[in-house]
Amino acid sequence: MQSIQENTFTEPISPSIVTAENKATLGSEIESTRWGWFPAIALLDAFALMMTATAYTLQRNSSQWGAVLFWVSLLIIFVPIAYRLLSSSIARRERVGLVVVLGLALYLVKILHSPLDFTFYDEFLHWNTTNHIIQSGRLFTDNTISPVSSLYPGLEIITSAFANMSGLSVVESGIIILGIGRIALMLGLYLFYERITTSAQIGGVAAILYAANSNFIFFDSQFSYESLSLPIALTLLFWVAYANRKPLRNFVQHILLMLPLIAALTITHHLTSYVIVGILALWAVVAFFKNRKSGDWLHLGVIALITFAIVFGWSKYVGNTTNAYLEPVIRNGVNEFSGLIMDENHGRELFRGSNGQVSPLWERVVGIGAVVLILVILPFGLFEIVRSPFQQSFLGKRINRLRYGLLQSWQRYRNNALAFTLAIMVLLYPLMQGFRLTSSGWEIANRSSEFLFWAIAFVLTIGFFSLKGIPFIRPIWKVAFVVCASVIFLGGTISGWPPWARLPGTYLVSADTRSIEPEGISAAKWAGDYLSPNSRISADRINTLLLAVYGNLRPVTHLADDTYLSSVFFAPVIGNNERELMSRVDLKYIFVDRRLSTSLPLVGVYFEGGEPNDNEYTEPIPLASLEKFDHVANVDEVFNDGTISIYDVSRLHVNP
Amino acid sequence: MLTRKPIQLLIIAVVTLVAAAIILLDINIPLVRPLLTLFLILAVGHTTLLAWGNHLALRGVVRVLMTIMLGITLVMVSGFILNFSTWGLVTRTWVFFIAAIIFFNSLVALLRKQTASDVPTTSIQTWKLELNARQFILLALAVVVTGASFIVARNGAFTEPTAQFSQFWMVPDTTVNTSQAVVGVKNEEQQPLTYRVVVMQGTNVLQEFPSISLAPNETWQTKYDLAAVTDTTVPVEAVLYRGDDQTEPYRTVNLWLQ
Repeated sequence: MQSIQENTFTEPISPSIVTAENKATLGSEIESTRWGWFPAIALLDAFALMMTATAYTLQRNSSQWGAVLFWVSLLIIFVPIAYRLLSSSIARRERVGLVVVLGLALYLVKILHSPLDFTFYDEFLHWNTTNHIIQSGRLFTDNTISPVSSLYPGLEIITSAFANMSGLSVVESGIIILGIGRIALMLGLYLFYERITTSAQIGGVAAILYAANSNFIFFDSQFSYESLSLPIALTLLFWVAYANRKPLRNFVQHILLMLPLIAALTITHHLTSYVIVGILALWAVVAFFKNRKSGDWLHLGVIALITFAIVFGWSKYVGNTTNAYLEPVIRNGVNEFSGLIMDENHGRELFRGSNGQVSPLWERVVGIGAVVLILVILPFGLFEIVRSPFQQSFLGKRINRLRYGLLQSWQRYRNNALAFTLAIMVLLYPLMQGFRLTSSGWEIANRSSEFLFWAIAFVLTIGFFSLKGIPFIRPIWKVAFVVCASVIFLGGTISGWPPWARLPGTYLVSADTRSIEPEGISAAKWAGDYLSPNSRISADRINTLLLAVYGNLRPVTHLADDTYLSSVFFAPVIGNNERELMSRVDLKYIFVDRRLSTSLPLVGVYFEGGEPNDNEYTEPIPLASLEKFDHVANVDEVFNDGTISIYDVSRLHVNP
Repeated sequence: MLTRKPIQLLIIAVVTLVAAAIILLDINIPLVRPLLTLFLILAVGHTTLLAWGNHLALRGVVRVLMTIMLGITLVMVSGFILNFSTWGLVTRTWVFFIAAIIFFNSLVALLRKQTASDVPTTSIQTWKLELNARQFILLALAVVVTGASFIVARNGAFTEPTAQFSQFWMVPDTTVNTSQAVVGVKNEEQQPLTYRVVVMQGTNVLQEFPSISLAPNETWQTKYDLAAVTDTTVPVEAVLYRGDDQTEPYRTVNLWLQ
C-alpha cells in the first residue's frame, strides 16, 4: 500500500481514492526526498530579516523609508513560500521546512523590533510574574499589574526553569522558549491540516494561510501566555485527530499522552483552554450526527469531558478572577454591538486611532480588501465541505462542476466530522467583523482571530483549491492565489496592530511599546535601588509597568486594589477626596511623568481603563495638575530628572 | 544482541549528568549551558515517548512535535508539583526533578520488552538530513545572515537618539541614621559635565558641593546630616546647578522634616 512519505500515517491511503490524476503526484512525493527550494528560500528570508532590521533602524532615526522597507520585507518572506507550496510535486520535508521557516521568520520580525528587552505592554505583565517566581521560588505570587497572570503561570514556569538552569536572563529565556513554541506551532498546524485532508499540499498551504491572522506577527509572538498556549492547543487538536480512529487500547494510551498537554494548556491560558473545550465538544456533537456508527463521537466525548473537567476545575478553584477579567470586555463589546444594530450609537470609525490619526489609504484598501477576499472565498470552501456527503447522490452528480488537484474532496470530507466542525466555526467570522465596528467589541473581534483562523485557513484553502477547477481561473490560478493570500496576509497585519506600534520610533505618550524608553527605565531602576522594596507607588499606565519590572516595587492598580487613583493626578489641587483615596490604598509614592501633558494618550487612557474621559480625551492632561505636588506641604520630592518626579505622599493620608 | 536503544539511553543519561553537574556547579560556559538546558527539556519529551509511547510508532515530524511539546508541558506540570514541595522552584530542585524524570523514563524504556519494531524506528537514529554541500552552505549562510540582522537591530536600538537628562535625588537614609539624607546626581546627558549642589533651607545655605565632575553614566552621591536642622515648617531643599549655567537651578528636590 502506498502511503505519504515518512510514514506519518500508520494507515495507508485507500486505493479507491488514488485516481489517475493524483497517482503520479503521490509517487513523486514518495520518491522525492529532496529539500528543493528550501535552503534558497531560507537564505532569502534571512536577507528579508536583514531588511526588516534595517527598516527598524531607519525608523528609529525618523526616516520615511523604514515603513516601506518593512512591508517589502514581509512580502519577501511570505510570497516565495506561498508560491512554492502550491506546487504539487515537491517533497513533504520541503513543505514542512518552508512552513517552519515562515513561522520562524515572522517570529523574528517581532524579536528584531525589540532586540534589547521586552517592550510590549502584555510582556511586562508576564515578565513581572516570572521575576516573582524566580525571586520567591513559588507560584501564585501577588502581581498587581496582572493578577490573572499569576493564576495561569504555565509560560512563566517553563521560562523561569530555563532561566534558572541556563543562567540566561528572563528576556533571553522567554525568546528561546517562544521560538521553540513557534516551531511547534507551525509543525502542529501543518500536521493538523494534513491529517484532516490527507494532503501534504493542502496541509502546507493552510498552515501558511494561518499566518495571515491579524495577531500572528506581533500579538502571538510576544512574551505572553497566549503565545505559548497556541502551540499546546494545536498539538492537542492534532493529537486528538491522530488518536481518534485508533483501537481502544491504543486510544487509552494516546489519552495518557494527551493529559500533560491538557494540564499544561489549562495552567497556561484561560481563553485558549475555553476555546479548546468548545471545539472538542462541538466536534463530538458533529461526529455524533455525522458518523455515529464509527464510534468517534464517544472517543471525542470522553476527551472533551476530561478537558472540560480539568479546565473547569482550575477556573473555579484557582483562576477564579478570570471572569472578572474577561466579563467586562465581553459585556461592553456585546452591549455596544447591539447598540450599533439598534442605531443607538455610531460605532467606531475604522482605521482612526484614539489620537485622531488616520491610516494611509493603501492600508485601508488592503485591510478591507483582505476581509472582502475572505468573505468571498470562504463560501467556496464551505460548499466543498458541506456538499461532500451528497456527491454520489443524483443531485450531487448533476451539480458537480468543481474538481481540484490531489484527492477528490468528497472522499475526504464525506465522513469527516472535524472538517464539518471547522466549517461551522467559520460561520462566526462575519459576526466578528461586525464587532470590529465598535470600540469595545474590536478587542473581541481581534482576539478571536487566532482561534477562528484555525478554521478559516482550512476552509479558505479548500475554497482556493476548488476555484482551480473553474476554466477561466485555472491558467492564472497560482498567481491569483499568491496575490490574494498576500493581500489577506498584509491586511491581517494591518488590522491587528496599530501603525504607530508596528515599527520602533521616538517616544509617544501612553503608546505602549513607543513609550518604553531609557529615561523611564532609568527612573524605575533608581526607584528600585533607593525606595523600600515593595513600596506602594502610583504611576501612569506605562511607568507602572516599568516600576513593577525594573523597580521591583508594588504599583497600586485598580485590578489589584479595586481603587482608581487617576483622579489624584487629574485634580488641580489635593483635596480631601484625593487624600482619602491615597489613604485607602496606603500609598507611599506618586510617580509623575510630565510628558503626559504634551499629547493625547495614543491608547486612549493615561492610567487605566475606567479613568475620567477614558477614550474621550480632547485635550492632554494639564501640566499644572501634574506639577501640583511641588507646592504641597509635607510632600517630599525625592527624585527629579526634569521630566519625571517621584513624591513621598505618605504624610498626606487622612487620619482615621 | 546489543540494540541501539540502550546506547541511545546511555548517551542521554551521560549528557544529563554532565548538564546537571554544570548547572549545579554554576559553571558559565557561553552557549553550552543554555544548549544543555534545552537538551534537558527535550530529553524529557524524548524519553517519555521512548518509555510510554514507543509502541505507537511515531516517526518523523509527528515525533519531533510530540518530543518538543511533551518536554515543555511536562516541565510545566513539574513546576506545578514543585510548588507544593518544601524547596520550591529553584535551580537545584529543577535539575534534580528533571533529571529524575529522564532517568526514570530511561529505565522504563530500557526495561520494556524490546520487539523487532522498537529498535529501528526510534526516530533519531533513522533521521537523515540528505543535504548536499550546496544546500548546507545555503542554510549556513541563512543562519549567519539572520545573526547579522540581530546585530543590525541591536545596534540600531543602542544608537537610537534618546533624551539627555540628569537624575537628582535626596532621600532619607534608612540604613543607619534616620537624620541623614542621601543626596546624589547621575549624569545621563551623554557628555561629561560639571555640577554644583547646594543644600539649603529657605534662603539659608546649609552645605555646598561646588564642583562635581561626572563622565556620562557616572554617579556622585553623599550623605548629609540633617540633625542640626530644627525648623520643620520649611522643607530642606537640594538644588542642582549644571556646569554651563551656574545661576539658574537645573533640578530641585526637597525633604520635609518631621
